[in-house]
Amino acid sequence: MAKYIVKRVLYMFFVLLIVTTITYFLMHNIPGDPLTALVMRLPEQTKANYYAKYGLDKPVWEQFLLFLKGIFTEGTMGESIRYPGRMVTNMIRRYSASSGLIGGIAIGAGFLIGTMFGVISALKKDKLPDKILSLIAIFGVSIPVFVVASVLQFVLTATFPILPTMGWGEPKHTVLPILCMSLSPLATYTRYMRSSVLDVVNQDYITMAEAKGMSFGMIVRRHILRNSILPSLTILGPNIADVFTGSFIIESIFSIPGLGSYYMTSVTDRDFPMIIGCTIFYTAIYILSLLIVDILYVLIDPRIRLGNRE
Amino acid sequence: MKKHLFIAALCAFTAVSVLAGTFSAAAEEPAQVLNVYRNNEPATLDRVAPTIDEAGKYILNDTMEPLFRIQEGKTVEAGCESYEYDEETMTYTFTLRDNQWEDGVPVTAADYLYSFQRMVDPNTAYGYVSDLYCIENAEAINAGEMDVSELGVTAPDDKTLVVTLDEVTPAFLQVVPMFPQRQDFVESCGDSYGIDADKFLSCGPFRMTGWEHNSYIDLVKNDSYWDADNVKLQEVHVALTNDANTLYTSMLNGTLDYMETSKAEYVDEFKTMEDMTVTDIVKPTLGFIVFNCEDEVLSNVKVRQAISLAVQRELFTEVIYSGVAVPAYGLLSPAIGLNGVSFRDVAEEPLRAFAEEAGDPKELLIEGLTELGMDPDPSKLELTISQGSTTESANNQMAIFQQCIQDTLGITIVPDSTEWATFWNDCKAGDFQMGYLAWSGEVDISFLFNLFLSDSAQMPCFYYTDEYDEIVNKANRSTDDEERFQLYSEAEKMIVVDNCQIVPVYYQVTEGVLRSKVKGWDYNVFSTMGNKGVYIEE
Repeated sequence: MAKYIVKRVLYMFFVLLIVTTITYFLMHNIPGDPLTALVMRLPEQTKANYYAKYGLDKPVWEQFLLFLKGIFTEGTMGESIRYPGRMVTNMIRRYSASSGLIGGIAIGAGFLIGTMFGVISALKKDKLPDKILSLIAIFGVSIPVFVVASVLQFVLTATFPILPTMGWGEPKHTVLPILCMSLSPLATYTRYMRSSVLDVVNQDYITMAEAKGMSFGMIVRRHILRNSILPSLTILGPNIADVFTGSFIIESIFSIPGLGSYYMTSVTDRDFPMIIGCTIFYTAIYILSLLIVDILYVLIDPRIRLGNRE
Repeated sequence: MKKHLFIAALCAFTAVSVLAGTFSAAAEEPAQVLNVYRNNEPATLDRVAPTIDEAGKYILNDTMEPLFRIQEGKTVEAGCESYEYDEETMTYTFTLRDNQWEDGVPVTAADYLYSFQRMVDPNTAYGYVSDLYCIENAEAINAGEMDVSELGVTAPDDKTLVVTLDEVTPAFLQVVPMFPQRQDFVESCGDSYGIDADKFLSCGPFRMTGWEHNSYIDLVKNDSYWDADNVKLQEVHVALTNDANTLYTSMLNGTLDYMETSKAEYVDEFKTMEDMTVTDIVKPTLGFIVFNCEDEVLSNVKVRQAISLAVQRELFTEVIYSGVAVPAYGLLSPAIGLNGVSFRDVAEEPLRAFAEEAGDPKELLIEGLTELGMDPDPSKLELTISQGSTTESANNQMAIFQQCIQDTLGITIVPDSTEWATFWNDCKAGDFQMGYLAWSGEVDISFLFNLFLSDSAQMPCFYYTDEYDEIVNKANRSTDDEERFQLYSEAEKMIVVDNCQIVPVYYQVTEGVLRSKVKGWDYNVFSTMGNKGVYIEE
């Protein structure tokens, strides 16, 4: 397994290099550059100095090589152009922490509760609990997050003012964003788990376990959960990646100092260093989360083997 | 014994009552805390950085002390106690007040001098550096031909700053941001100056205690400020959000004291609330269509005039802005003026008179097409109007232009919506026919006029004339307000009628919703007074 992980990490660097290269050249080929609006009023010489400061006066391939050199020799991805003085790596480190906190708890809660709801829903198929939980799941999947956020915000901060409308720094500021962000994964995992459990409960080995006189709780824990959780794990990987890039909408609504809003504005502002920095970070997290999911597969289902069987 | 106990109990009761009275009286005093917001995170608080934005300027008005502030369109002394202007030598001599930085170090003339030098230094790339070219040697320094030490600004002593101009500039005190910056502090921060609370030093009515990026900025009263006795607010909390719903909810639950909105449904509700005051705020912003005058068809002024006359401004403002915005027939919004007098109060909007005398726009169009030697049949003409936004509201605006122009002139209008950077790139490259833009004027009346000067050529209309340059340059140098109004009025007529480089559409208006307990609020869009004079009164 160790060999497999090392191999996957090496693959990750290869993929990162490809993604970085493609993004870099695509980004420089779209119309406009980060200084278009900033330097509108500047005299030509000053404008040229400013372009030179960010290396934008050089050919794109040379800029790319300098960028790679910066990463490999200094471990830096440059300075944001929209927010001068702020280093891209520092910004990612600082803001991904808030996004990770909110998103991590939301996804974690959504996964745990969704899994539980899915099991209950399947085991009580066509009964009242199933109908209620299915309804919640349909709402969670179909209502856009900004609608949920606006409604919850209005009800819990204006009609019944028990939570702050926006802000950051205290635990109470995280309640509403987590609530809003967890609803969609909760619904997704409920639906995945329900259909997966329904599939598993009809298998012969469940009948066999019942025939052996195994208790209901034991059957659920040992056979149903283990065998039905794999589809949910598959979508957990991409969800983990989403956590760190944050939800732009939620961050904007609740004034959360997260990475999502910087990532979004960097694209419209053509803040090249920030776009490329966030893309590399996002890609790395995505690949790592897929690796973690693969390892979890093995832990949950020992029949799965990683890598080539010797 | 009993008597003693009784007296002791009485004393205790009296003491408790007095203390309770004191505390309850104190509790009745309203907390001097103001909750406001900005739509975006300030990119920097370095006043001379090229990325300085409106949010940054807002914070600086509260945390810094410029030599002058703008109050109701007029310049008033702030960090400067008094000044003299010698017309012969074109020299300003400013005498500074006894002010301190938040760490107790006195603010000196050298701090203002350093900021001037940074502004003209080509390495700073200050965006509005051309406003300083009126200062002796500024242009040469900015071009890299001289050292910053040769700038026509000196600090003979800690309390005196001398600025020598090399041309008459009536708007000098208004347009040049004269903020102090302490050299030792700025240099110790390096490129990080002004990007965090601990990388910033205040000397204004408030000092910064916290800056959580993209979330909030906290300010508290600065006790070392020279006029601290007249600052009543103890705290200013600035939320950083642009979510209209969040702002609306915050107004309802009392965690925000002021918001600006154009949403009719919000405004109607706030108007019914007793503790809210709703005020129309005319912005200095003009929404307009710019013509690419180098385009084959649009090179003819009659074609451009016909299109301008075909736009129904009243319909536009009613449908898009529920009648809140003002239909525009000129270049300058009523918010812009000279020394507290609105330009619109003294100058008629030139397009109104032209609309009455011009007759049928379609005939004007046919005349124009004939002059161009083209087929005079309007139905065979197709023109594209582009914009740098893809929102629903933006598309509705394009739909109205399309309908108005097609119905009146019988030509085909093709709307083209792209994101801003792409659109603006096309505009600057001249790769467009008509572009829909909005541009804000500034406290200096000349700002919007200067965009059409041939040496700045910032407006992508690709049509600049010597006659216009002459009029505007003369107006910019005149010290007679009446003459300036007259000259700008002529220049405005050239832009919207005679040369018809743009189609003015609307002047932006928003509604300011203020909690009634907040007093001393300054609604003037150009005010740089900040929250210094604001206080809370229940």
